[in-house]
Amino acid sequence: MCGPQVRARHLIRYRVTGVTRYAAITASARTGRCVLAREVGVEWINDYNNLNKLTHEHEDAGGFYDELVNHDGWIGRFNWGDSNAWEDDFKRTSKGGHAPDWVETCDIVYFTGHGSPSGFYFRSDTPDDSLVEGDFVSGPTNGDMRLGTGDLDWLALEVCNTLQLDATLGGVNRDVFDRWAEAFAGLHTILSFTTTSLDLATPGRYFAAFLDGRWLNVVFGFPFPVTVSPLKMIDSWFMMAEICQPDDVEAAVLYANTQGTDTQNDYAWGHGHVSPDPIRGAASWFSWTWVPHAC
Amino acid sequence: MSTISLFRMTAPQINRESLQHAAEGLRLGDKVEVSADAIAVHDKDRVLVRAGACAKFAGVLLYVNHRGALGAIHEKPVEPERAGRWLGEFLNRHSLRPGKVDDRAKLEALPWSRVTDAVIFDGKERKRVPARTDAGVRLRLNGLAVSGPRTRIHAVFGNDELPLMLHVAVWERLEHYADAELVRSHDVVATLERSIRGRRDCNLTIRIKDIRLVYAASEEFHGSPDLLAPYYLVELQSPYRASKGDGDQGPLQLLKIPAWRFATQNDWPAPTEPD
Repeated sequence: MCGPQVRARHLIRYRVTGVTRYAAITASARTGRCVLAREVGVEWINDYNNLNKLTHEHEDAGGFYDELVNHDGWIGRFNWGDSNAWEDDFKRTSKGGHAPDWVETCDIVYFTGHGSPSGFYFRSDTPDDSLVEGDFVSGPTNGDMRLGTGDLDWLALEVCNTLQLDATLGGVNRDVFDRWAEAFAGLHTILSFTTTSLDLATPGRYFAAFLDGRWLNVVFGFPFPVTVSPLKMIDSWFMMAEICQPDDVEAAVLYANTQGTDTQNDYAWGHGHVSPDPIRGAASWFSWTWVPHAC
Repeated sequence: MSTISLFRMTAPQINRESLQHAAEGLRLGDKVEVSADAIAVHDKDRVLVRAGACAKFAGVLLYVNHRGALGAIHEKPVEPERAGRWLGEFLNRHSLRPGKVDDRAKLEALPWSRVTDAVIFDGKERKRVPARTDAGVRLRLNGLAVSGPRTRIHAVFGNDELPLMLHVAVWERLEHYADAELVRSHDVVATLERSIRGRRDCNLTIRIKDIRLVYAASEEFHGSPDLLAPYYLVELQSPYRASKGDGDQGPLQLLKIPAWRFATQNDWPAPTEPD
């Protein structure tokens, strides 16, 4: 069943890669090496075969992609939806996944669909399985994500409950650090929600507009360009939640730091300071910080 | 049959002078941008903007301080009482509280303020630390919470009394629009259960985790009448065939479902001339 789907999907990717991969090579401020310029990828699912269907996720993720690619000069690496959105794209290679080929080729990845404290969900008929799981879901160190070994700095999960502080797994409380700390292998921040949130069309576009400084145009409708300072990554996420979601919905972020990093002050690439990657073992200390924002 | 009132909101008109006055209260620079739908005062680091009465965020006032960071740990966040006092005085001074309400609307405004904690994990211990101070005003209309980004008063403070973020979304006038039948919550639950159980590939039991009746506006203004109407916010536990040990909490979903209906088309209020 998956054969033709795999071929079609990789053919598209190959073609897109051929066009864009040589278009924008620049020096990385972080490492001094040549890397691809700012790259974004999005995945979204409306048409679940194993969960309630959703309605606006294509517009939500598409808005994020469109704003960064068409208004801020980012390179769009992928925009996969429904049956083309795969859990495999987020999964570490030691578990048979292909994260280095997909999410790690981007600086920021935005996913929207269903979520829970255990992780975020895909269709059950796509590779590899239907849940990007955190640690302690099926085993203490069996989490799917070990992110930041490539380009990925930020993972935005516009899904319910993923960053809930406490959650019972197998009858035991496994807090947000149990579930997601090991996912940070150079990754700066996971941005998500601790509660449920509404399925809306606009969060992705508004989040991106706060990031690139176009929010007075996009959110407030100024018809002529108004240049204001872009917001920081975390502030952009919280402001998106603030202007989109009902009262009592709570957004949250989980960011990592070590000696010489300040990921809480990150802007999107091209709009201000970006912290060096927080690498475990590079200094005598390493920490994760969880911050909520109730609307 | 229970009935419930629907109200029509009218957003404040843009007033350049009053916005500049509010900007002064925030010690903000005086670069002004004006369009038909919004007005903004900004400087290098901060923006105060208010949407016009016909914009998609009709009447919303937003202030953002780029110098701060909403996700940072502030060493000494402002005391909640002080933050609440500042917000109350700011709202009063600049006439930013909800405007006139209809006789059939009983409005309560409940100020709140609190310190928001972050949690830091160093690989061994979890440490809960004060990160910032949040303050706001909860609105209740005829005993029901008013919820949503277009009816909200919320401010976030860091180490000093000037906020990092301010969001004020209130009406200038709130008038009675119509009375309608209140859809009963168990009818909503039954309909949801029927529609989801009937789905191919997914005939598992669903669970309603929470159902709350609130007053809310549409997320964005799409044209008059701009209704503040009753909705159910339903938290639904999604049926899920766990392919691996999915823990004890499957995915949840939040739905916003209209809680009113008119018995016949004739019950809809006749269109009125704009004021």
